Amino acid sequence: MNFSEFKIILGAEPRSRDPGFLHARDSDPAFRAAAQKAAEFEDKLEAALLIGAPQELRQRIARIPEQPEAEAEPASRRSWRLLAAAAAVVAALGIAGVAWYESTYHWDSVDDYIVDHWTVDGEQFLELADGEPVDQVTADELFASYGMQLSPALAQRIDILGKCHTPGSSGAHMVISTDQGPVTLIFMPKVETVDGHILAFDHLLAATLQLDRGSAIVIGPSEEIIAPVFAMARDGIRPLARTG
Amino acid sequence: MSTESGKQQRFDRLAGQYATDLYRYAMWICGNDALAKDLVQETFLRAWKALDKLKDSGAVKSWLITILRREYARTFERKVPKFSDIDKVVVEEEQELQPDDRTEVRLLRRGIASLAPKYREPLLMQVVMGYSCQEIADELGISKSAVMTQLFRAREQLKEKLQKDGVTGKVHELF
Repeated sequence: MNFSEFKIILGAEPRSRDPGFLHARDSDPAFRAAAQKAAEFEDKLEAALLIGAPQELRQRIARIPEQPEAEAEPASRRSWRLLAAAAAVVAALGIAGVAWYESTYHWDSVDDYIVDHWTVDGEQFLELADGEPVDQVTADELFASYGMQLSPALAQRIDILGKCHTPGSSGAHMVISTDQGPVTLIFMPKVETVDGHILAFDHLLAATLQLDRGSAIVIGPSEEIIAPVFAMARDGIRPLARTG
Repeated sequence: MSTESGKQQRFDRLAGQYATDLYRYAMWICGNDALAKDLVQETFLRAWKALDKLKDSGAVKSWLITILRREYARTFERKVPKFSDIDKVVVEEEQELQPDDRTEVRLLRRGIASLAPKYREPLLMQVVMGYSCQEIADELGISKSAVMTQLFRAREQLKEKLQKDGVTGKVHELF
């Protein structure tokens, strides 16, 4: 094995136990020196990568067998709740008629959920938007898993699509492209809300929309900007058509 | 011993053996502590539900990482969120390091976070999960030589980043 070949293996597998590699390493001082340097770097790499796991996670995993049918409580739900204290919330109208499907930890209100969720993921998702629509097949699959379907008009405006935690179940977090900029749309499969309720917070407006099944939240900088997405979501998120 | 308690013991062993490594892996691919915990929790929930079907105990690690990768892929369709929490991860190990080493480790962490996924993921599988190059190739569906190239480039890029920041054993007060 020549030195170039040796260095390639060193770069890919510095802890290699291949007999040919080990023989080359031990047979030449230059090879041994290179291996020593690589081992020192590898020690630092391991120190950098091997971060600790939180005790809280182990405890939650340990509880899984006790609740096999329930969805495991997401860590993000709790951390969003803790962050709510730092958010400025101005409720424009009171909340009424909210029904929750929660078996464990829950938000006190949809408003709480909105602020929590935005604090953790809102800006981050917006920053990812680049004007390219997501693949409609993917979007359809995700919504079909909720028993819902998307209109093509809405689907082709989805710039970012991801699953997120919503009260009672996972839901969908979308960034919708509009002529006036990106608008956030969150689908909550198991939440009922007051249709048209507006929450003002953190220089933003959030409007809740009751759908035929589940509900949605539209978030943007003004009513003028969120209104078209509100209308698009009302027409564009519907229960899957039954066949046969 | 009842079947149920046998399953519980098997699950507890799995969790004890792999939870930490899975969290590390998840944290490094998504860069977000809350999401990493969610991914690991979902992985073990699925593992619990499917544990009776797993016959080959030698395939457990690969099985768990496949579940986690699929869960992650389902969470984010095309885009990967920016690394947000990597500077806030558990730092108590750092306190045991010398100042020079602590600086290097921090720089390395930032370097790892900025690696392209095609370099970062094989590196994580190798160093965090202890995969061989062939196992990485099987998991990613690419050739072993492609894996070795990616691992080589990942390390080269990290070394370049350290050199660029002038870390040569001197203490640098960066923050």
